[in-house]
Amino acid sequence: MSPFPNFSFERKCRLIFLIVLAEFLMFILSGVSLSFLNGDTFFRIGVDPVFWFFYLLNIPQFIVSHHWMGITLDALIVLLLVLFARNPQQHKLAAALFLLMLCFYVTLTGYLSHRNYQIGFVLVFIPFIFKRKTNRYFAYEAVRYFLLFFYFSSAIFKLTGNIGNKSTLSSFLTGQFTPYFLENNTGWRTDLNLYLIHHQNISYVLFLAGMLIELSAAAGFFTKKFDKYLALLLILFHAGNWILMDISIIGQIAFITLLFLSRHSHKASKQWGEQL
Amino acid sequence: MDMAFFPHNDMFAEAAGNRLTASTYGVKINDRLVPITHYPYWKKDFLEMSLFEYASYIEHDNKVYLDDYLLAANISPAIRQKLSASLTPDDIKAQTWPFWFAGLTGIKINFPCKAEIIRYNYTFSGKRPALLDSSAIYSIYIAQ
Repeated sequence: MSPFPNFSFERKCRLIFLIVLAEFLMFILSGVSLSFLNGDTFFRIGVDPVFWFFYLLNIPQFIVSHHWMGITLDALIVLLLVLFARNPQQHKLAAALFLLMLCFYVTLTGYLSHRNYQIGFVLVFIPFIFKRKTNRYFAYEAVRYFLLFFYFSSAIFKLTGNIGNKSTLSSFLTGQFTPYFLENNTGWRTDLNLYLIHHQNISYVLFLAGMLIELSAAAGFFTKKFDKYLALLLILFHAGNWILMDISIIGQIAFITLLFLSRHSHKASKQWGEQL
Repeated sequence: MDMAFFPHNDMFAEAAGNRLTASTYGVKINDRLVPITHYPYWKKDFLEMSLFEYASYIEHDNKVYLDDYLLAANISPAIRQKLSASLTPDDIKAQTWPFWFAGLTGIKINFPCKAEIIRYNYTFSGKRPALLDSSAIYSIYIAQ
Protein backbone atom coordinates (compact mmCIF):
# COMPACT_ATOMS: atom_id res chain seq x y z
CA MET A 1 0.00 0.00 0.00
CA SER A 2 1.35 3.41 -0.99
CA PRO A 3 2.15 5.79 1.88
CA PHE A 4 1.04 8.68 -0.35
CA PRO A 5 -2.57 9.93 -0.54
CA ASN A 6 -4.26 9.06 -3.81
CA PHE A 7 -5.23 12.55 -4.94
CA SER A 8 -6.67 13.20 -8.36
CA PHE A 9 -4.47 14.81 -10.98
CA GLU A 10 -6.31 18.11 -10.82
CA ARG A 11 -6.10 18.23 -7.03
CA LYS A 12 -2.36 17.59 -7.16
CA CYS A 13 -1.94 20.45 -9.63
CA ARG A 14 -3.93 22.76 -7.36
CA LEU A 15 -1.77 21.79 -4.39
CA ILE A 16 1.43 22.43 -6.36
CA PHE A 17 0.31 25.94 -7.28
CA LEU A 18 -0.87 26.64 -3.76
CA ILE A 19 2.71 25.83 -2.74
CA VAL A 20 3.97 28.31 -5.38
CA LEU A 21 1.59 30.88 -3.90
CA ALA A 22 2.88 30.15 -0.39
CA GLU A 23 6.46 30.46 -1.64
CA PHE A 24 5.77 33.81 -3.26
CA LEU A 25 4.03 35.04 -0.10
CA MET A 26 7.20 34.05 1.76
CA PHE A 27 9.17 36.39 -0.51
CA ILE A 28 6.72 39.17 0.30
CA LEU A 29 6.64 38.44 4.05
CA SER A 30 10.44 38.23 4.11
CA GLY A 31 10.56 41.71 2.61
CA VAL A 32 12.36 41.02 -0.68
CA SER A 33 9.57 41.04 -3.26
CA LEU A 34 9.55 43.65 -6.03
CA SER A 35 7.94 46.38 -3.95
CA PHE A 36 10.66 46.15 -1.29
CA LEU A 37 13.51 46.60 -3.79
CA ASN A 38 12.43 50.17 -4.47
CA GLY A 39 15.38 52.57 -4.69
CA ASP A 40 18.14 49.93 -4.75
CA THR A 41 21.18 51.40 -6.51
CA PHE A 42 23.44 48.38 -6.85
CA PHE A 43 23.08 45.26 -8.96
CA ARG A 44 25.49 42.74 -10.41
CA ILE A 45 24.65 40.40 -13.23
CA GLY A 46 26.70 37.79 -15.04
CA VAL A 47 27.36 36.95 -18.67
CA ASP A 48 23.96 35.49 -19.34
CA PRO A 49 21.60 36.40 -22.21
CA VAL A 50 18.51 35.98 -20.02
CA PHE A 51 19.70 38.64 -17.60
CA TRP A 52 21.04 40.81 -20.43
CA PHE A 53 17.69 40.75 -22.23
CA PHE A 54 15.81 42.10 -19.21
CA TYR A 55 18.48 44.61 -18.13
CA LEU A 56 19.07 45.95 -21.68
CA LEU A 57 15.37 46.69 -21.86
CA ASN A 58 15.74 48.41 -18.47
CA ILE A 59 12.86 46.38 -17.05
CA PRO A 60 14.34 45.56 -13.60
CA GLN A 61 15.75 49.09 -13.32
CA PHE A 62 12.32 50.57 -14.11
CA ILE A 63 10.53 48.35 -11.57
CA VAL A 64 13.05 49.14 -8.85
CA SER A 65 12.91 52.88 -9.46
CA HIS A 66 9.08 53.07 -9.50
CA HIS A 67 7.54 51.94 -6.26
CA TRP A 68 4.01 51.77 -7.66
CA MET A 69 5.21 49.33 -10.30
CA GLY A 70 6.72 46.99 -7.71
CA ILE A 71 3.54 47.05 -5.61
CA THR A 72 1.35 46.51 -8.69
CA LEU A 73 3.40 43.54 -9.92
CA ASP A 74 3.47 41.93 -6.45
CA ALA A 75 -0.30 42.24 -6.19
CA LEU A 76 -0.81 41.01 -9.77
CA ILE A 77 1.33 37.91 -9.19
CA VAL A 78 -0.60 37.02 -6.02
CA LEU A 79 -3.95 37.54 -7.77
CA LEU A 80 -2.99 35.45 -10.80
CA LEU A 81 -1.58 32.69 -8.59
CA VAL A 82 -4.86 32.49 -6.67
CA LEU A 83 -6.81 32.28 -9.93
CA PHE A 84 -4.44 29.72 -11.41
CA ALA A 85 -4.43 27.53 -8.30
CA ARG A 86 -8.24 27.40 -8.58
CA ASN A 87 -8.06 26.28 -12.20
CA PRO A 88 -4.69 25.06 -13.55
CA GLN A 89 -6.23 24.50 -17.01
CA GLN A 90 -5.83 28.17 -17.92
CA HIS A 91 -2.71 28.03 -20.08
CA LYS A 92 -2.73 31.77 -20.77
CA LEU A 93 -2.55 32.45 -17.04
CA ALA A 94 0.35 29.99 -16.81
CA ALA A 95 2.19 31.86 -19.58
CA ALA A 96 1.60 35.22 -17.87
CA LEU A 97 2.77 33.84 -14.54
CA PHE A 98 5.86 32.30 -16.13
CA LEU A 99 6.88 35.70 -17.54
CA LEU A 100 6.06 37.59 -14.34
CA MET A 101 7.95 35.11 -12.18
CA LEU A 102 10.92 35.14 -14.57
CA CYS A 103 10.93 38.94 -14.37
CA PHE A 104 10.82 38.72 -10.56
CA TYR A 105 13.62 36.10 -10.51
CA VAL A 106 15.87 38.15 -12.80
CA THR A 107 15.22 41.34 -10.81
CA LEU A 108 15.66 39.72 -7.38
CA THR A 109 18.80 37.79 -8.23
CA GLY A 110 20.31 40.72 -10.16
CA TYR A 111 19.91 43.05 -7.19
CA LEU A 112 20.67 40.25 -4.73
CA SER A 113 23.87 39.97 -6.81
CA HIS A 114 23.74 36.21 -6.46
CA ARG A 115 22.20 33.49 -8.59
CA ASN A 116 20.48 31.00 -6.34
CA TYR A 117 19.28 27.62 -7.42
CA GLN A 118 15.67 28.50 -6.53
CA ILE A 119 14.48 29.05 -10.07
CA GLY A 120 11.96 26.25 -9.52
CA PHE A 121 9.15 28.74 -8.88
CA VAL A 122 9.61 29.92 -12.48
CA LEU A 123 10.14 26.57 -14.23
CA VAL A 124 7.14 24.95 -12.54
CA PHE A 125 4.82 26.77 -14.98
CA ILE A 126 6.39 25.48 -18.19
CA PRO A 127 4.29 22.29 -18.65
CA PHE A 128 1.12 24.30 -18.07
CA ILE A 129 1.64 27.04 -20.64
CA PHE A 130 0.79 24.87 -23.65
CA LYS A 131 -2.69 24.54 -25.06
CA ARG A 132 -2.29 21.26 -26.97
CA LYS A 133 -2.30 18.09 -24.87
CA THR A 134 0.71 16.49 -26.51
CA ASN A 135 2.73 19.68 -26.11
CA ARG A 136 1.86 19.75 -22.40
CA TYR A 137 2.95 16.17 -22.04
CA PHE A 138 6.28 16.71 -23.80
CA ALA A 139 6.88 19.93 -21.87
CA TYR A 140 6.26 18.07 -18.61
CA GLU A 141 8.67 15.32 -19.64
CA ALA A 142 11.32 17.90 -20.55
CA VAL A 143 10.94 19.76 -17.26
CA ARG A 144 11.02 16.49 -15.31
CA TYR A 145 14.27 15.49 -17.03
CA PHE A 146 15.73 18.93 -16.42
CA LEU A 147 14.87 18.67 -12.72
CA LEU A 148 16.51 15.24 -12.46
CA PHE A 149 19.52 16.32 -14.50
CA PHE A 150 19.94 19.45 -12.40
CA TYR A 151 20.49 17.43 -9.22
CA PHE A 152 22.31 14.56 -10.92
CA SER A 153 24.81 16.92 -12.58
CA SER A 154 25.41 18.59 -9.24
CA ALA A 155 26.46 15.20 -7.85
CA ILE A 156 28.71 14.63 -10.88
CA PHE A 157 30.38 18.01 -10.28
CA LYS A 158 31.12 16.90 -6.72
CA LEU A 159 32.27 13.43 -7.79
CA THR A 160 34.75 14.90 -10.25
CA GLY A 161 35.66 17.87 -8.07
CA ASN A 162 36.30 17.40 -4.41
CA ILE A 163 35.08 13.91 -3.52
CA GLY A 164 38.51 12.86 -2.23
CA ASN A 165 38.91 15.76 0.18
CA LYS A 166 37.58 14.86 3.62
CA SER A 167 37.70 18.43 4.84
CA THR A 168 35.47 19.72 2.03
CA LEU A 169 32.26 20.30 3.97
CA SER A 170 34.10 21.47 7.10
CA SER A 171 35.91 24.08 5.01
CA PHE A 172 32.73 25.31 3.34
CA LEU A 173 30.95 25.47 6.69
CA THR A 174 33.41 28.06 8.05
CA GLY A 175 31.84 30.73 5.85
CA GLN A 176 28.18 29.82 6.16
CA PHE A 177 27.34 31.24 9.59
CA THR A 178 29.99 33.95 10.04
CA PRO A 179 27.46 36.83 10.10
CA TYR A 180 25.65 35.05 12.95
CA PHE A 181 28.88 34.95 14.97
CA LEU A 182 29.55 38.60 14.18
CA GLU A 183 26.16 39.54 15.66
CA ASN A 184 26.32 37.00 18.51
CA ASN A 185 23.08 35.55 17.16
CA THR A 186 23.95 31.98 18.03
CA GLY A 187 21.92 28.85 18.75
CA TRP A 188 21.71 25.16 17.91
CA ARG A 189 22.49 25.63 14.23
CA THR A 190 25.68 27.63 14.94
CA ASP A 191 26.65 25.03 17.59
CA LEU A 192 26.15 22.29 15.01
CA ASN A 193 28.13 24.36 12.52
CA LEU A 194 31.09 24.55 14.92
CA TYR A 195 30.82 20.85 15.76
CA LEU A 196 30.98 19.88 12.09
CA ILE A 197 33.86 22.26 11.38
CA HIS A 198 35.89 20.47 14.04
CA HIS A 199 34.70 16.92 13.21
CA GLN A 200 35.69 16.47 9.60
CA ASN A 201 34.84 12.77 9.36
CA ILE A 202 31.24 13.35 10.39
CA SER A 203 30.83 16.29 8.05
CA TYR A 204 32.39 14.23 5.25
CA VAL A 205 29.78 11.49 5.80
CA LEU A 206 27.03 14.13 5.56
CA PHE A 207 28.64 15.48 2.40
CA LEU A 208 28.62 12.00 0.85
CA ALA A 209 25.00 11.43 1.96
CA GLY A 210 23.92 14.66 0.27
CA MET A 211 25.81 13.74 -2.88
CA LEU A 212 24.20 10.26 -2.92
CA ILE A 213 20.74 11.83 -2.71
CA GLU A 214 21.59 14.06 -5.68
CA LEU A 215 23.01 11.04 -7.50
CA SER A 216 19.81 9.06 -6.85
CA ALA A 217 17.99 11.42 -9.23
CA ALA A 218 19.58 9.31 -11.99
CA ALA A 219 17.04 6.57 -11.19
CA GLY A 220 14.41 8.83 -12.71
CA PHE A 221 16.13 8.62 -16.11
CA PHE A 222 15.10 4.96 -16.33
CA THR A 223 11.83 4.68 -14.44
CA LYS A 224 9.08 6.83 -12.95
CA LYS A 225 8.25 4.31 -10.25
CA PHE A 226 10.37 6.04 -7.64
CA ASP A 227 9.52 9.66 -8.45
CA LYS A 228 7.58 10.26 -5.23
CA TYR A 229 10.45 8.91 -3.16
CA LEU A 230 12.92 10.98 -5.15
CA ALA A 231 10.82 14.06 -4.43
CA LEU A 232 10.86 13.31 -0.71
CA LEU A 233 14.61 12.66 -0.76
CA LEU A 234 15.28 15.93 -2.56
CA ILE A 235 13.12 17.86 -0.09
CA LEU A 236 15.04 16.13 2.72
CA PHE A 237 18.29 17.16 1.01
CA HIS A 238 17.16 20.80 0.94
CA ALA A 239 16.03 20.63 4.57
CA GLY A 240 19.55 19.45 5.43
CA ASN A 241 20.96 22.32 3.39
CA TRP A 242 18.97 24.79 5.46
CA ILE A 243 20.14 23.30 8.76
CA LEU A 244 23.80 22.87 7.81
CA MET A 245 24.43 25.58 5.23
CA ASP A 246 21.70 28.15 5.92
CA ILE A 247 20.40 27.80 2.35
CA SER A 248 16.62 27.76 2.20
CA ILE A 249 14.39 25.52 0.10
CA ILE A 250 11.75 28.24 -0.34
CA GLY A 251 11.31 28.72 -4.06
CA GLN A 252 12.12 25.14 -5.01
CA ILE A 253 9.50 23.03 -3.20
CA ALA A 254 6.70 23.28 -5.78
CA PHE A 255 9.13 22.47 -8.58
CA ILE A 256 10.23 19.26 -6.87
CA THR A 257 6.64 18.24 -6.20
CA LEU A 258 6.10 18.13 -9.98
CA LEU A 259 7.54 14.63 -9.60
CA PHE A 260 4.26 13.64 -7.93
CA LEU A 261 2.53 14.12 -11.30
CA SER A 262 4.66 11.62 -13.17
CA ARG A 263 2.35 8.66 -12.41
CA HIS A 264 -0.18 10.30 -14.66
CA SER A 265 2.22 10.33 -17.59
CA HIS A 266 3.45 6.81 -16.81
CA LYS A 267 0.35 5.02 -18.07
CA ALA A 268 -0.10 6.74 -21.38
CA SER A 269 1.57 9.75 -22.89
CA LYS A 270 -1.68 11.48 -23.82
CA GLN A 271 -3.40 10.90 -20.50
CA TRP A 272 -1.38 13.57 -18.74
CA GLY A 273 -2.59 16.19 -21.14
CA GLU A 274 -6.17 14.99 -21.16
CA GLN A 275 -6.44 15.13 -17.41
CA LEU A 276 -5.25 18.67 -17.39
CA MET B 1 27.65 26.84 -13.88
CA ASP B 2 25.99 30.05 -12.88
CA MET B 3 23.19 30.92 -15.27
CA ALA B 4 19.57 31.91 -14.91
CA PHE B 5 18.19 28.56 -16.05
CA PHE B 6 21.00 26.47 -14.69
CA PRO B 7 21.96 28.19 -11.49
CA HIS B 8 24.87 27.20 -9.33
CA ASN B 9 24.57 23.44 -9.51
CA ASP B 10 28.33 23.24 -9.06
CA MET B 11 27.88 24.84 -5.65
CA PHE B 12 30.24 23.29 -3.10
CA ALA B 13 31.89 21.16 -5.78
CA GLU B 14 35.00 23.32 -6.09
CA ALA B 15 38.15 22.52 -4.12
CA ALA B 16 37.88 24.22 -0.74
CA GLY B 17 41.28 23.26 0.67
CA ASN B 18 41.47 22.89 4.41
CA ARG B 19 40.63 26.38 5.57
CA LEU B 20 39.81 27.51 9.08
CA THR B 21 39.31 31.18 8.32
CA ALA B 22 36.37 33.12 6.92
CA SER B 23 35.45 36.72 6.18
CA THR B 24 32.22 38.58 6.43
CA TYR B 25 31.12 42.17 5.98
CA GLY B 26 29.01 44.52 8.03
CA VAL B 27 27.49 47.96 7.50
CA LYS B 28 27.87 50.52 10.26
CA ILE B 29 25.61 53.55 10.41
CA ASN B 30 27.01 56.23 12.70
CA ASP B 31 29.35 53.58 14.18
CA ARG B 32 26.55 51.12 14.97
CA LEU B 33 26.48 47.74 13.20
CA VAL B 34 23.32 47.07 11.18
CA PRO B 35 22.07 43.59 12.24
CA ILE B 36 20.81 41.28 9.50
CA THR B 37 20.69 37.70 10.76
CA HIS B 38 17.42 37.86 12.70
CA TYR B 39 15.37 38.39 9.52
CA PRO B 40 13.50 35.62 7.67
CA TYR B 41 15.74 33.69 5.30
CA TRP B 42 15.27 35.59 2.06
CA LYS B 43 15.80 39.01 3.60
CA LYS B 44 18.83 37.82 5.53
CA ASP B 45 20.18 36.22 2.34
CA PHE B 46 19.50 39.38 0.36
CA LEU B 47 21.24 41.58 2.92
CA GLU B 48 24.20 39.23 3.33
CA MET B 49 24.84 38.44 -0.34
CA SER B 50 24.23 41.90 -1.78
CA LEU B 51 26.54 43.35 0.88
CA PHE B 52 29.19 40.76 0.00
CA GLU B 53 28.97 41.70 -3.70
CA TYR B 54 28.93 45.41 -2.97
CA ALA B 55 32.05 44.99 -0.84
CA SER B 56 33.68 43.06 -3.72
CA TYR B 57 32.73 45.94 -6.02
CA ILE B 58 34.37 48.43 -3.64
CA GLU B 59 37.48 46.26 -3.23
CA HIS B 60 37.84 46.01 -7.02
CA ASP B 61 37.97 49.74 -7.70
CA ASN B 62 34.23 50.16 -8.16
CA LYS B 63 34.01 47.50 -10.83
CA VAL B 64 31.76 44.49 -11.25
CA TYR B 65 32.69 41.44 -13.32
CA LEU B 66 30.87 42.72 -16.40
CA ASP B 67 33.02 45.88 -16.46
CA ASP B 68 36.09 43.72 -17.05
CA TYR B 69 34.23 41.39 -19.39
CA LEU B 70 32.98 44.20 -21.63
CA LEU B 71 36.43 45.81 -21.65
CA ALA B 72 37.98 42.56 -22.88
CA ALA B 73 35.22 41.88 -25.42
CA ASN B 74 35.95 42.61 -29.08
CA ILE B 75 33.22 45.24 -29.56
CA SER B 76 33.15 48.87 -30.60
CA PRO B 77 33.49 51.52 -27.86
CA ALA B 78 29.99 52.83 -28.64
CA ILE B 79 28.38 49.41 -28.12
CA ARG B 80 30.50 48.83 -25.03
CA GLN B 81 29.31 52.10 -23.56
CA LYS B 82 25.69 51.28 -24.31
CA LEU B 83 25.96 47.81 -22.81
CA SER B 84 27.82 49.13 -19.80
CA ALA B 85 25.13 51.73 -19.14
CA SER B 86 22.43 49.06 -18.84
CA LEU B 87 24.31 46.05 -17.51
CA THR B 88 26.49 47.58 -14.80
CA PRO B 89 25.52 49.76 -11.84
CA ASP B 90 25.82 53.54 -11.98
CA ASP B 91 28.97 54.48 -10.03
CA ILE B 92 27.53 57.73 -8.67
CA LYS B 93 24.23 56.23 -7.53
CA ALA B 94 25.98 53.17 -6.06
CA GLN B 95 27.95 55.41 -3.66
CA THR B 96 24.93 55.84 -1.41
CA TRP B 97 23.95 52.15 -1.47
CA PRO B 98 24.89 51.55 2.22
CA PHE B 99 22.16 54.02 3.22
CA TRP B 100 19.61 52.13 1.10
CA PHE B 101 20.83 48.89 2.69
CA ALA B 102 20.29 50.30 6.18
CA GLY B 103 16.87 51.62 5.17
CA LEU B 104 15.81 48.12 4.07
CA THR B 105 16.43 46.90 7.61
CA GLY B 106 14.10 49.59 8.94
CA ILE B 107 16.73 52.02 10.17
CA LYS B 108 15.64 55.61 9.67
CA ILE B 109 18.46 57.65 8.18
CA ASN B 110 18.72 61.20 9.50
CA PHE B 111 21.40 63.39 7.98
CA PRO B 112 24.17 64.17 8.79
CA CYS B 113 25.00 60.49 8.68
CA LYS B 114 28.08 58.31 8.25
CA ALA B 115 28.04 54.86 6.70
CA GLU B 116 30.92 52.39 6.68
CA ILE B 117 31.51 48.95 5.23
CA ILE B 118 33.67 46.85 7.53
CA ARG B 119 35.43 43.63 6.62
CA TYR B 120 35.78 41.14 9.48
CA ASN B 121 38.20 38.21 9.36
CA TYR B 122 37.51 35.23 11.62
CA THR B 123 39.49 32.16 12.58
CA PHE B 124 37.82 28.88 13.47
CA SER B 125 40.98 27.18 14.74
CA GLY B 126 39.84 27.39 18.37
CA LYS B 127 36.76 25.95 19.98
CA ARG B 128 34.82 29.16 19.30
CA PRO B 129 35.34 31.47 16.31
CA ALA B 130 37.59 34.42 17.09
CA LEU B 131 37.83 37.76 15.33
CA LEU B 132 41.30 38.13 13.82
CA ASP B 133 40.97 41.69 12.58
CA SER B 134 38.59 44.17 11.01
CA SER B 135 39.04 47.06 8.64
CA ALA B 136 36.86 49.72 7.05
CA ILE B 137 36.91 49.29 3.27
CA TYR B 138 34.47 52.11 2.49
CA SER B 139 33.19 55.16 4.24
CA ILE B 140 30.74 57.85 3.18
CA TYR B 141 29.52 60.89 5.10
CA ILE B 142 26.56 62.90 3.96
CA ALA B 143 25.93 66.20 5.70
CA GLN B 144 22.41 66.77 4.44
